[in-house]
Amino acid sequence: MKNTNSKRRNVFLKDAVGRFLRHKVAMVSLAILTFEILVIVFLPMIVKLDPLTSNPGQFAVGPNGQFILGTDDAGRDIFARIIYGGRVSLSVGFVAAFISAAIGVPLGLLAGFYDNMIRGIIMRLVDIFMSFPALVIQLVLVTVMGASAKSLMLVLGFLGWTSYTRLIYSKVLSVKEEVYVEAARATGATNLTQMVKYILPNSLAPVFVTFSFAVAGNILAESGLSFLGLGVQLPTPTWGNMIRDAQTLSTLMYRPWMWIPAGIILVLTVVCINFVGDGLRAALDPKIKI
Amino acid sequence: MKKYIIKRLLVMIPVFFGMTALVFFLSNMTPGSPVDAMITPEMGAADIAAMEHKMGLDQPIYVQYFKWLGRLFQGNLGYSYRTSQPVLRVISERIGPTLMLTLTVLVVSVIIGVGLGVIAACKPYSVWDTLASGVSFIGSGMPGFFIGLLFIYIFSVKTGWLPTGGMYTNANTQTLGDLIKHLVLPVLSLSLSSAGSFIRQTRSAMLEVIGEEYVKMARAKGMLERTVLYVHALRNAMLPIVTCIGMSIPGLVGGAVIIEQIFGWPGMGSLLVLSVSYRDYPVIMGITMYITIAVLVTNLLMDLIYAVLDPRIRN
Repeated sequence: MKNTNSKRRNVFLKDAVGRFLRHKVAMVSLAILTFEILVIVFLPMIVKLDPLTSNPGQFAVGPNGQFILGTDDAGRDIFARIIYGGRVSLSVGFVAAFISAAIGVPLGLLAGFYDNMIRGIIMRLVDIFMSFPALVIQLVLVTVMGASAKSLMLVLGFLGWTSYTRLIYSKVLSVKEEVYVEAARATGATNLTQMVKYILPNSLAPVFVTFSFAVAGNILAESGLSFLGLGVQLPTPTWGNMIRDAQTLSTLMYRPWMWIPAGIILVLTVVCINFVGDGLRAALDPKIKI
Repeated sequence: MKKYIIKRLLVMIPVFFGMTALVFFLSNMTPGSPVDAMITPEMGAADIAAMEHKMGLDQPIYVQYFKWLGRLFQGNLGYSYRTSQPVLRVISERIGPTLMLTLTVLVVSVIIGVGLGVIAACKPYSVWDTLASGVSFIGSGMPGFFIGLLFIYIFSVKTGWLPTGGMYTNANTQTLGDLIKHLVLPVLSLSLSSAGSFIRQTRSAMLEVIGEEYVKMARAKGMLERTVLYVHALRNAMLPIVTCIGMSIPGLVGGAVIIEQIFGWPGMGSLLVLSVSYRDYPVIMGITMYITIAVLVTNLLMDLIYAVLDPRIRN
């Protein structure tokens, strides 16, 4: 019985992987993202890049042979800042999405499984968290905890759990009615065993979709807060606080190299992650045509 | 219906208290006291203590919260630490511009989003469909502030067509034409971000509905394609779209904070950013409360629209 079940799951998984591999846009996006992550992680180990030191006499120079993307007002290498900024932006995005999943998935599992007060409290909490502009709480929280990459990860992580909870909740509602869960219940499996061993593994697939959208959303939120000057603080670069330079009208007008490349990389990254998420969704849901 | 409205209103109460309490305690956990900003070299410890006493900062935090809540219901939001003006006055000057901005954005993004979504669904895999998914992906992938900066760069700096920011060119001569000119860029930058999700939602909802029997029936009766689409299909597809619009409102309000900052729009968002950097708690609290109420009221309105559209959920 267990054997056929796992075999059937393998067939579904194989189908899903096949569908994902045939999703052209997602594949191209995944290739771009992989390349980007490899560059961000390994390039600083190969070439000497210095995002922090200012180069005397080289303030705000445009792209040239020495600095391919020019330097900023403090004479720092823009290209190096984009690479190092990517490390900060991406790690904030991923870590925060992990924290949200670690909170949201168990809560969704509980809310879906128990048809009582537990569900009421959890789903009401979801309503409260979702009905409020996240940016306003993020602003206040980041100020309380001190603006840094670490507090951004915590704040975005602890505020972003609701989408996981809603997703798992609705999935669990249908999965727990399946025959194999009923069988487990009939053979005397405890609630915990039913949830962890039977319901969770069968409800987990769509979490990957939510996870990718959450990473994209977190990167956007981080850049927004850093853009306002309330996120990651200078001199540590992130894409958001690099774009912040353009709030000075003269930089906006005469020195586009300071902010446009950072913005393009930011948009490219977020769009690619969203496309990968879309591909995953299409792959996991056979009803969606590619 | 009456019962339904009362139920929705009752749900709002814990949300309101939860939100105000959360933000009150959070902003009071902020390191540094507002008194720090007012200390002058001549002041001794006794003067500082007297000042803290005057502002009520020496009391336990929950006492401060309930006192604040009590005053709130009398319409007294306290005084701004930064400008010493009543918070109510500081904020009320800013409500108008923010409401104008966000409501315009809501209308524009719904028109763009639902319009493009319907066209995309009617002609799937056509040029329009590609355009719609392009707009939706750019909209959801591009942060509002980057769109805003690009717009300023292209439409104000390079071409000089539109102003870079503010609400009027000259505060003394306020004309409608001038206002609209100043509105175009902030509204477009913010609308693009929220239109993205509307397009996707509308497209998939319409595609689902178009396959239904009653749409085929309407077509079979020989109705105009336009009537079939907008009367029979769209009305039934509206349910998930309304949900999506309702859920976008908190994000819209958050996005407005950043857009106001970029375009120097004199609304609550730019005031909030300013107040956070000054640790001006009374104003932060006041703005948060206004936003909470506004979002709750909009949620209620959305629920009511939902109930009007779908008679099944009234019971």
